[in-house]
Amino acid sequence: MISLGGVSKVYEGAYEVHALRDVHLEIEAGEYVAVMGPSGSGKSTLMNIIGCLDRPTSGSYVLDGREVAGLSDDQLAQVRNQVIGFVFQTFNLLARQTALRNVELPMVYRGASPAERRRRALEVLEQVGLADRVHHRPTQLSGGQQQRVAVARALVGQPAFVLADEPTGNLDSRSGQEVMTIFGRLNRAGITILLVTHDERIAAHAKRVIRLMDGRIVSDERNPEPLDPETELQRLVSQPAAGAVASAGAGGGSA
Amino acid sequence: MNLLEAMRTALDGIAANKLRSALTTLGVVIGVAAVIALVAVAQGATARMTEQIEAMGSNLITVRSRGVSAQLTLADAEGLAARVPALAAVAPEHSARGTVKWGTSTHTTTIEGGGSHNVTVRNRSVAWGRDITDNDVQFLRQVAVVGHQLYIDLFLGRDPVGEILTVYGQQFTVIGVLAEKGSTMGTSPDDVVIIPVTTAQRLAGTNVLSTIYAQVSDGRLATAAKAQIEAIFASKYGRSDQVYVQSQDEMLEAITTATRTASMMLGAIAGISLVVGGIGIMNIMLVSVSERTREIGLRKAVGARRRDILAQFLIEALTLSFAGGLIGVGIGAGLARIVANTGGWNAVVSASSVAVSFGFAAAVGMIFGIYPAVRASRLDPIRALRYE
Repeated sequence: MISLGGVSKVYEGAYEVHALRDVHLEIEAGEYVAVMGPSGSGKSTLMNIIGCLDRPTSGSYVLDGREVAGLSDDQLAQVRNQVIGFVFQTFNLLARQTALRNVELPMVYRGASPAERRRRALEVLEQVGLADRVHHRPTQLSGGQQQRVAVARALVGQPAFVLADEPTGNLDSRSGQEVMTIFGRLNRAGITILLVTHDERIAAHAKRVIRLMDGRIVSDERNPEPLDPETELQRLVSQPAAGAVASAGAGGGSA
Repeated sequence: MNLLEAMRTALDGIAANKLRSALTTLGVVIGVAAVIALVAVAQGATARMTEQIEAMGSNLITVRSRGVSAQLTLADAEGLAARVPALAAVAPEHSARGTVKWGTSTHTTTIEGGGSHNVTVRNRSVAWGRDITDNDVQFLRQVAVVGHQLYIDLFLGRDPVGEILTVYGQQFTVIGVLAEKGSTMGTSPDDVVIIPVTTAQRLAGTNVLSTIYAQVSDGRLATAAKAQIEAIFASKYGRSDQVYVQSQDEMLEAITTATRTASMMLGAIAGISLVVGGIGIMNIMLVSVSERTREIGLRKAVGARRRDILAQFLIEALTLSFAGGLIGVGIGAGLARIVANTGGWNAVVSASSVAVSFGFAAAVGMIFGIYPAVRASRLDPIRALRYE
């Protein structure tokens, strides 16, 4: 479904920065992939290109059977709207709008009728367990709840895959684990998930882990025994202190 | 995204900063209100002056002496009547301020010496009794036609015809009463006593006239008649600047030109304030765009195209300027009404001034809104999302 062929990205400036060098990557529908790497590894650049927020300098990117490397800004906007669901580290909810209206947003840009997008938004808010919070504004919600609104927003348009950039980075370990539980459930339901993180514990939930270094993929391994998010959540609930220590390193941003 | 959604989003943006939006709008409000009020007052003044000139009588040519050596006389008036065929009537006038007395009451008024045409040429009429006749003029009779003001103030509403009025210390018999005309701009045409011009000149010890009014039989002949009158006086005095001849059309034209210039100047000044208001809108829109960079980034990430973002911010700017325009029209019309009520002066809020200033406000919103909106629409979603 995602097929990168020899993708490179060079940033021109005072000196050239090779953010990605000849990256080949195939991701099938239904996969649960974590992309890892230290700051400066090209992780964010890869995410931007896969998320159709940026174009590769060279190489091809076939998404859902369609070459997207040469599309215009507005065409990319349409692809993002229909194929990709974004979850960001900083949630990026509109502060003055209710959860419902925030979740409806992608459907607004798709041109869906008010009745249709309301129906869809309520459906996905229910899926993330926020059916009783639809008329709350972000400021009236906890961080974990806000991120679940953001996940609902990512799902509302029935995207081909969900692209999550450090989704637990701004959350305490328990809220983070709750979000991971939702991702686990979504993947079991057949939704492709692409997780960008530098937290080993978060990455351990994925079935496949890709590691980047200096713009190259240095390892691409199957994870035979991914962590079960529900068990992890149980463990955190019973041992709150241990959980806090375990995810102490999860506060940083992506590079 | 359809227009309705874009409008909803834009209104949300405005509502997010109510005070700021209101202050931004104020520039346009003041500009539009100024245009509407100033133009209304100027047009009201024009209408008023035009009305007054027309009330003086129709197709009127006014002759006054200007040079020191030139003095208009009854012979001049008779000469004009005889030599200018386009004139339907010539009315010589000798007027002065003076005190008249009836019984023990006195009243200070304009004592107007005139002939048989002075009432009609000046667009007046005798309500009852009779007018001055050529006979009265010829025999220097001591008869008087009183204005409506005297009828009320001096005779206290009693029929004055046949009463004896003392003018210049002489006894005059009242023969008629003028119909009421109503006051115009401070001077009252009702506050007058008309006596035969010859009698007036004799009592004042002069043979000079203050004015000769000439009425043209057909308005189209006014220009030619005026030229002829000027030629007559030019040949009499050997130079053309001794007598001042003015036709009604010229007066109307002069006033129209003057007020049109004033209107345009006022409009231009008000227009400048509209432009300043527009700059205010642009300023706030630029602030708004940079404040909402992350929002724009997010909207783009979830599928907003350039034109969606452009529409959102352009509609926001247009809404501010439209709201300013609407409020400005209301305030401007209100101000015009206040001026009209306090100044006893008609202020005309014309549809064209409303349309022009409202259109200008909308154009200002469009012109000054487009740059911030384009800037917003061109933001790179990656950078916008990372923007702190």
